Amino acid sequence: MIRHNARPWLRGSVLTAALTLFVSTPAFAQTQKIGAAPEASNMKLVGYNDLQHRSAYQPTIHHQGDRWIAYIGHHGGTDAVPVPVNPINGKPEFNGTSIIDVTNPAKPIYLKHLPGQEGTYEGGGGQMTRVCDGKQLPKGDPKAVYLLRTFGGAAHEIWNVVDPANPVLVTRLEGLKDTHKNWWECDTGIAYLVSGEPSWRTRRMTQVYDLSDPRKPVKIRDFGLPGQEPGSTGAVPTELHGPISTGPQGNRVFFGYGTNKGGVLQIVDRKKLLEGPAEPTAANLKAPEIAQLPMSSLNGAHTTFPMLQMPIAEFAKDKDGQKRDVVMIVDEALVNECAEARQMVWFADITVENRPMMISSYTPSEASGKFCDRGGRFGTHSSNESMAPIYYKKLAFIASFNAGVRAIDIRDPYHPREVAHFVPAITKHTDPRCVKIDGKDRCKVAIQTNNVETDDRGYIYIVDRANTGLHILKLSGAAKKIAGGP
Amino acid sequence: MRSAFVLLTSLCAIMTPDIGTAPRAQSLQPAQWREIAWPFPRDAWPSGKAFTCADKSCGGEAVLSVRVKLGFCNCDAGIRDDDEVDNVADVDMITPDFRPTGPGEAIKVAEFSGRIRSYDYTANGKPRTALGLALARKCDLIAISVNSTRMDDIELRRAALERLNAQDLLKWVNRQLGEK
Repeated sequence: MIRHNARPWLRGSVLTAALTLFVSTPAFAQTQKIGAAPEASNMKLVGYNDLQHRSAYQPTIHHQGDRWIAYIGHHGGTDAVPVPVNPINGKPEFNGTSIIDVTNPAKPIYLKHLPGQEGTYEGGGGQMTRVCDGKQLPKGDPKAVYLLRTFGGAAHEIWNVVDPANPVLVTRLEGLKDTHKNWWECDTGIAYLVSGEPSWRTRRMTQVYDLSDPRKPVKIRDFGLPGQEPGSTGAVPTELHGPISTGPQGNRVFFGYGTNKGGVLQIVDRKKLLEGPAEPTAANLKAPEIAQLPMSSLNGAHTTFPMLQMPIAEFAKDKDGQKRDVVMIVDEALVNECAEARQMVWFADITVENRPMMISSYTPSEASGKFCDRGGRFGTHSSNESMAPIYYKKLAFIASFNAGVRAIDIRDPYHPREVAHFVPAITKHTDPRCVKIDGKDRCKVAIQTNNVETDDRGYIYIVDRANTGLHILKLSGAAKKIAGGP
Repeated sequence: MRSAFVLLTSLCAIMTPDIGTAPRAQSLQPAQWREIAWPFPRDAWPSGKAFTCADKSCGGEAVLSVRVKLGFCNCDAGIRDDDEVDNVADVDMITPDFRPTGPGEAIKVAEFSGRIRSYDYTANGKPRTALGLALARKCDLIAISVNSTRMDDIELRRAALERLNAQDLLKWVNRQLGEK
């Protein structure tokens, strides 16, 4: 469970003994410098935008007509700059959503900043973005393009962004105590909204909506783990982080609970979820569940990315099990300077659905960059969530905070291996990250690659939590060959 | 110590208006807590300090646990409601099947603000009492659980708060929070 809008830079109090060790070994620290070259292997920088120096979360890249548009969610502002000025109109605006034309990735054009909720860090902004074309939604306006975004923790909003420079509000679902990483099926309109319904005992659970007509949202049910529902007693299971659905064809929804602790992968029968009794009783909440994979208390489940029916070369001659259903589970590091258990990537084989099993893991090598000494968070946060053929089941891109983005070869998920990385340089706008030593803040400046997404063309978009902006990348060398490039 | 006890008694009286009707004779001496090893299995958070009190000064056998959870709290709002106490106060380490006996109350221990809530549960077929306290400072949480075999709720609160307000424990908490 995380964690109640905790500010990472304030959250960094650490054990005295560990801090003493850090302070006493400055020779090992690899402090980043403004203007230094990025650290890169098999990845190259294509383009850059500073995102108005706003702390960035979820990027969604949408092929919109003959244009490619990036919709990038933001956390709230910082204590130092709670309401950054939008240079387009000269007005201070609470962080919300950046809308950028990335048709030419070498020259991204900032089109619009759509302000979000008042507040700093996770207490404000508009972190989440998903986009569907009206012509794909069953009852959408075929001329419209819809952006589903969060408005801080207070609401979900749908905007018509057919003209991305001039979004128009369509719908607002409010009265919540929190929001987070939603999923929206564009072919059906079913949305799994991570919400905080006030009567529930947890900050984040699922509200399932039919948003096939974004102008007329229809609530289907509330969902969560038994013990989270109103009126229950006893221990409260760890809160939801986010789901990913395989739609009616796959008929599964993979829910990730926990973020950096006590993670749970929950595999749910989508049809039973949508058509089962809606009253939130423990029995009704349990009914659509196929299985849970409880993780160690030391690790959470931030992203649960399904990769079903993967052919495994090593198993090709085996009589059974040549193809495996795999879920990639990404934890989120939360505490600065490694003052927690390592948060990383896990691969679960769910071929036998009611007996899911962890089969492998991946973490960037700490020693390769002395990342625990650099400042800020080290460990993973999130993966790309695009299922476009160019990378799906071949390469995964992992946002890894001060270790930048890491590309891993997942063709054999039993043996994932890193094949590329890119750590951007810091800028004068990169926000420091602090830990407490003897009651005083000791701060460092380091890149904090927060989220990553890819587009159908193969460009990789990474955004920074510490206000460094958007970097658009492409693969090169051996990594590019894995994706099918020359 | 005597002045601290007077302060605590006053605090309990404010929190629990019916304290005047509760049996108090056996609790007029300070509760005699003794530190023990952390009694719970390893979980997501580092362990903390635990104490037991087995003699009449506590009115019965009790176990108190205190630990710090860095980065667990709403940085602005602190402990928002009773659900949050259920969620974070480590009562689930005692038993997963606890039942609140009523709404919780706001509380302040030293400079920490939060909420306290009472629970009952059953162990080995016998009814027991538990308390959950969740205290916040900025983004960090102090999680406290108390469980007892025989003590009534008022006595349990008094004894627990007395230990929590002791300087040695407050210093330890502050060190965990990164203070000198």
